[in-house]
Amino acid sequence: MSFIKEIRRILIDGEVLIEKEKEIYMIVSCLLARGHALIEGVPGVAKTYTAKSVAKLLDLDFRRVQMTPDLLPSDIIGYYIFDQRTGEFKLRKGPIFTNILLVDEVNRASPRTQSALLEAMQERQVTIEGNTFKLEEPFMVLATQNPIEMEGVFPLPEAQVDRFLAKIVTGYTTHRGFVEMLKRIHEIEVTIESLKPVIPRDLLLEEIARSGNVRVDESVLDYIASIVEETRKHPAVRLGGSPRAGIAILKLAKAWAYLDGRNYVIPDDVKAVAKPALIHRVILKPEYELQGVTPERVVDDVLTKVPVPRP
Amino acid sequence: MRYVPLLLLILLTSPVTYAELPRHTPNFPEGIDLGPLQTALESLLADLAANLSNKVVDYQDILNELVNRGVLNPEEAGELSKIASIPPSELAGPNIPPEVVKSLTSGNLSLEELEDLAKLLVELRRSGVLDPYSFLALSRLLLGVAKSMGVALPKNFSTEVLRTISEVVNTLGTQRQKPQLPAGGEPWAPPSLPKLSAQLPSIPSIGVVTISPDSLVTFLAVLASLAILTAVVFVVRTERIRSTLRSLLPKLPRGPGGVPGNDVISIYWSSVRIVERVAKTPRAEYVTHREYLRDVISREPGVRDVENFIASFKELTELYELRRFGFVAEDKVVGRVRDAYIRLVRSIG
Repeated sequence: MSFIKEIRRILIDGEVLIEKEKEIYMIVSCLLARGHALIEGVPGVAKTYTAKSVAKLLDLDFRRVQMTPDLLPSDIIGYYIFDQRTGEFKLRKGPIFTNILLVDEVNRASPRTQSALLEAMQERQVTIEGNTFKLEEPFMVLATQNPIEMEGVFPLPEAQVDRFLAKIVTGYTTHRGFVEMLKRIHEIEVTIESLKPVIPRDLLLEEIARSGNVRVDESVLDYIASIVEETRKHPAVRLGGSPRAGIAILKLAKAWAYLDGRNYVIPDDVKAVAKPALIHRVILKPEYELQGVTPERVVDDVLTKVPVPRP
Repeated sequence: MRYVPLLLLILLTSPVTYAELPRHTPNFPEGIDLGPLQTALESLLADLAANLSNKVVDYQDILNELVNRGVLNPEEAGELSKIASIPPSELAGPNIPPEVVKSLTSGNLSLEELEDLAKLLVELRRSGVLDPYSFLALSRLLLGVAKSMGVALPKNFSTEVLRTISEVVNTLGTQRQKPQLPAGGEPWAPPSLPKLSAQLPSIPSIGVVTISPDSLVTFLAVLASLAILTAVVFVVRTERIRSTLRSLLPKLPRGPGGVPGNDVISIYWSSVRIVERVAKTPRAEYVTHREYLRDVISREPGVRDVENFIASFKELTELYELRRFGFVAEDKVVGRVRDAYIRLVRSIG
């Protein structure tokens, strides 16, 4: 668990990634909870740098795929190619055979490619021409999407968005942070390239297993269930959180507590992860959307309605 | 005498059934059981409640009646009057709906609303949501409105007010006056035991054992020692009696939020009530323990020793979390919680 302190020291205290603390913690939480994350942000807000830095510090293999409309499922999962020298078909594994896969602009790929990727995420295995291959643990997909562009994109259907454990919304830095970043940009780039792992892969797998043993009091489970149920009752919501949303909150809260050095979950953990776990699962009524209501606002509203466990 | 070690061994090795304690103790301490004294007081209060329920009285009238009957001394009545004079602005909090305080202070209530409010207050008190002090303060307001309307409140309300008064009086540090009891003597006096006659007949010898009157006294003394020893063994070994021991520990100081119980959960919530009043920071239901702590720190409460006040409340919050959500046993943290609570109260000044 001390690995998170080390990551914090290098990336946050060392100002390698400026004002990205929450994003880093949420990515690591997703990894501990064995889930995948959807990162939403406009271009140029260090989405790739954040993912790459975390992967490097965790001694994990990292690959990046830029999604385009003509990308085929085989470009991601791999394919068999005929080797003329040996006269046999040889497997050429796709970029999905990695630990952390950064899928840039996931909504630019065709629905067919998207579903092939999302199936692999769910099953943690891929099937190429009838042969099934297990993906190496840990495996996490960090998919990014740009919330602005609407042309030439294929928005992910609700059922597929639900596969992401969390949606991490990242934005611009403050003015002060921006100036600091401009001052040290060369140093930052060099530092990211020279990052060394802070924890070996086998120990990381142990940490992942241990984080699953974090204990949760029944009153906290009740709190999680109440939050999810309240999203369904909210007047601005057409479709609220599913039971899977509750499971996502629970998994993330356990990971969040573990990163804080606790072996038990407190209501603060639930509150910290509720927004990333819910905002992509809550679908608003069009009339409220037109008024500028966002899922973030709905979740905030829900969190101010549901009482925390008492006494 | 030679069987004493054997008897002790049997007692020590005999299986003891541990009483199962509830996972989470209630928010507020339970009523203090004073045994026969409490029973006598209860019967007196029931009699008073029956009388008061037909009369149009306010809170002060009740106190005066209790003083007249010798249940309270004037000093205690003064203290009770002060306790119930919490300003309405400080009453509204997470446990007390602001509408209730607003209705009571405005005084614009119909007869039906008045009765509903009396019922609500009794329910809130009985369920432990309202602490005795807030209940008395709200009752004072309600009785005032009832008197101005010329209405007598239901018997169960009067009973609850008197019961709460009794509870508060028991926790006050003032010298209690003995209540005037109905005829029939003092029910709490120990029964007078017949004295042992000096002229006890000698007990005929049975085998090798001969018990003379002198050795009988010795024998009884040994039996008494054994009984005490047995009690000590049970005190140490049984959870139920352990909790009794805890309740006999010196009482924690009474802060502005009321008198805390002896367990981590109720001590923490008592500290929250103190902090709510002292730091003038009401705690909303949806606010987590840490969020509330941050809120209090940011408000810079006006107490004598701010640093100690914050440090104590922080420690209380952490220990409460450990007990409440961290599955840590009560006895592992209760001592530290009590210390932190005492420091918190002292830091107020």
